[in-house]
Amino acid sequence: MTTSFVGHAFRKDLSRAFMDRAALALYLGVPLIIGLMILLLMGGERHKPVAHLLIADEDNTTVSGLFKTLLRSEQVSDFVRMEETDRAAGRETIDDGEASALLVIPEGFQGAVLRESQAQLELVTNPAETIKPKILTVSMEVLADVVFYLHRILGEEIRKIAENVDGDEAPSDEAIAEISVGINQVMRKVGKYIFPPAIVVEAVTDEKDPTGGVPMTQLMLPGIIFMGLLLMAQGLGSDVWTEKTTGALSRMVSAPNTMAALLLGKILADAVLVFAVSCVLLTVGMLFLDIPLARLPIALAWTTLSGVTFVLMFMWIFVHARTRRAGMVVTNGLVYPLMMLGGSFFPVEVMPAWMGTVGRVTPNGWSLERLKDILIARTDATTLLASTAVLLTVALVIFLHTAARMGGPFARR
Amino acid sequence: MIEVERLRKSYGSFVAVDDVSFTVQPGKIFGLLGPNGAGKSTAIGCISGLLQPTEGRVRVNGYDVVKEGKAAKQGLGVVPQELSLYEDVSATENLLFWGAAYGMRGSELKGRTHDVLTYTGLLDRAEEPVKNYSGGMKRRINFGCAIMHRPKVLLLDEPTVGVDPQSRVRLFEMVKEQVAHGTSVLYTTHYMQEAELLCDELAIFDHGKLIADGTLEDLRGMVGEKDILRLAGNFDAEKARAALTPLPDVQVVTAESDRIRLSVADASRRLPELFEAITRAGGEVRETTLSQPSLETLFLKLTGKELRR
Ligand SMILES: Nc1ncnc2c1ncn2[C@@H]1O[C@H](COP(=O)(O)OP(=O)(O)OP(=O)(O)O)[C@@H](O)[C@H]1O
Ligand SMILES: [Mg+2]
Repeated sequence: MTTSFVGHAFRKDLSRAFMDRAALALYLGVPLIIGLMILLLMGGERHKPVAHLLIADEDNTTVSGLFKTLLRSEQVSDFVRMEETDRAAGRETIDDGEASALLVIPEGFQGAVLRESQAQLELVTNPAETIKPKILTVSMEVLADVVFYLHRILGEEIRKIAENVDGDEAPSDEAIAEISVGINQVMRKVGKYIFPPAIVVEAVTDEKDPTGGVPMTQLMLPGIIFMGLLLMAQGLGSDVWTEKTTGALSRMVSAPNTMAALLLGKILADAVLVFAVSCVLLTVGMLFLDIPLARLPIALAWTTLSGVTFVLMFMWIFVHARTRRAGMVVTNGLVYPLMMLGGSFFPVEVMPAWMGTVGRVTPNGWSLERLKDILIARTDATTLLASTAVLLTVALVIFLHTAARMGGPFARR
Repeated sequence: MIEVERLRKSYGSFVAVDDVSFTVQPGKIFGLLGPNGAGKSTAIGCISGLLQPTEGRVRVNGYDVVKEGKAAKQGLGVVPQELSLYEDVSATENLLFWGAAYGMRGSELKGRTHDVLTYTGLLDRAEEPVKNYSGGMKRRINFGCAIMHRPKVLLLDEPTVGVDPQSRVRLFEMVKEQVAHGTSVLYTTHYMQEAELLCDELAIFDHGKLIADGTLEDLRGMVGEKDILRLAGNFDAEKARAALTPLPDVQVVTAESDRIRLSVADASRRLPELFEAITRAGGEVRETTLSQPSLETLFLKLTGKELRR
């Protein structure tokens, strides 16, 4: 093995990687976009999403009016900005993507509510938005509950109204005022029991806090970075098939330098790419989440070492696959479950116990937990060194085995 | 120098190269001529160390390719049948890489890269990714990668497939220049014309076996002075064979349905006599093709098959 050759193998793979801009964009883009989405979802206090709700009231009755009053109530208006419109105009606004949802209160709503038969509401959501329509759906569910409780608490009054409206004449203003006041009082009382659980759906973290006080977004950052690393590792690992099909590997077998040298150059090039991508992701994430940048170098060293080990793991699978396609099928079948279990979609802290246990021993889950420790500064040098030794050993074993395979059966077409 | 002794390579029960021996002397071009599937690439693979011989021995520059692999490989350049290039990177980077794979470094590597680029006529496109090249240019750089380290032995596996006439001529020149420097060349092809033009010594290869070998003169001698005559028309091949075989100096090479191939000395003068024999057997000749003695006729004689032209 000559260092000169390792150097040229390194340069060759680096220039090949830079020619493949689409892949680079993918490695960098996917985690950035997903990270952004998660930030928007969990938002923290910074950007609380306020849903823009259009209401088309086709019932135009006392009850539908009360219903709208409820939507304007303090508890709901935190999340929902309401605007009245009609069905057609509302649909248009939704189609233009300018509102989160359109709520249609159909004719006959009042009758249904009062008789506690099924009250149908139509909620048309904006497909381009995910979280805000969800908030609205939840709010609607809350309101449905409110109706249920109202019947329990205000049974008498409601029946009174029902009697009233059954006759053709509208209820007197006093009657409405009286009922409204009554309902408002009750709402104030029951509101605090009804609304908080609904809000918890959106903000699990603030409630029972399994996260040990670490903000959810900080727990998510390593997951997103490892998602990028896994995607990258699969892509870079599959490159051995390109080398094979171009015939370079079989030519290499008839050259005096070793396959291990070629592989070393390749892995060093991959290390540079992993370093670059994780550097961008880490820096952006840490700046955004106010994590001290002093922790960046160690975090970066760790992600690079982990990423390279993943590349080797995937490469090992690829050099054992019968075809590139077979390799892709197997690795695809691994990447997503690994992301899921290893905490890329949601952190192990909020997983069911069994899943968290499995997740922590997946290769990416294990590495991810170490990165988390580094980012929130709850680790020490000894632990880090021990972890590094583990990773290096694993990487070395896979490297040697992969190199042997590449220079042997894999090189022959 | 390449020494192949009783080489045998089998895949399970299938024997791809069967008991083959030959020697390629320094400064000589040895042609392996054979149709598709004859076992040419397999033989090359056993010499280059890509494949493990099942039996027999191969030495390159005196080194056993199995036992002294590294030393043998150091003096060996291989131009594979299929292009073996990194298409995303430039010709320069490909040359640097393969030069380094053979242990070159530093200014020697750089200088040699420049020389090979000049030599292959690719200097002005040297920094472009190889995927932009034409087929002929790719073949030239494929060749260039193999000669970076000035090998004493060069294995060329059908290097002119899919190449335009200019690039082919340039490739021939390059091979001849290598030979002029004392390199031993093993050249496989199924183009008879290439073999005749280029090779000092030839082996005809079919079904894994060497069926004839020697210098061009040796092989021409084996063909003799006889022409190959192809006749086609309204006749039954077997009846025609029966009618023609008794004639003096006429040899039937193949006979199938309505066509027959003959090896005949001085064929043009004897055509009337041959036509008459077929007419007497109740047939009629519609088409005649006459070929002068050549390797092709030898190949045909030995294998009953025609090579592609
Ligand atoms: N790995 C393998 N397993 C089984 N059979 C093989 C293998 N490699 C080659 N063969 C068979 O060995 C025979 C010789 O193949 P080879 O590639 O050496 O022929 P060739 O003379 O180079 O042909 P061509 O002119 O088409 O390149 C063929 O019948 C081929 O199918
Ligand atoms: Mg071949």
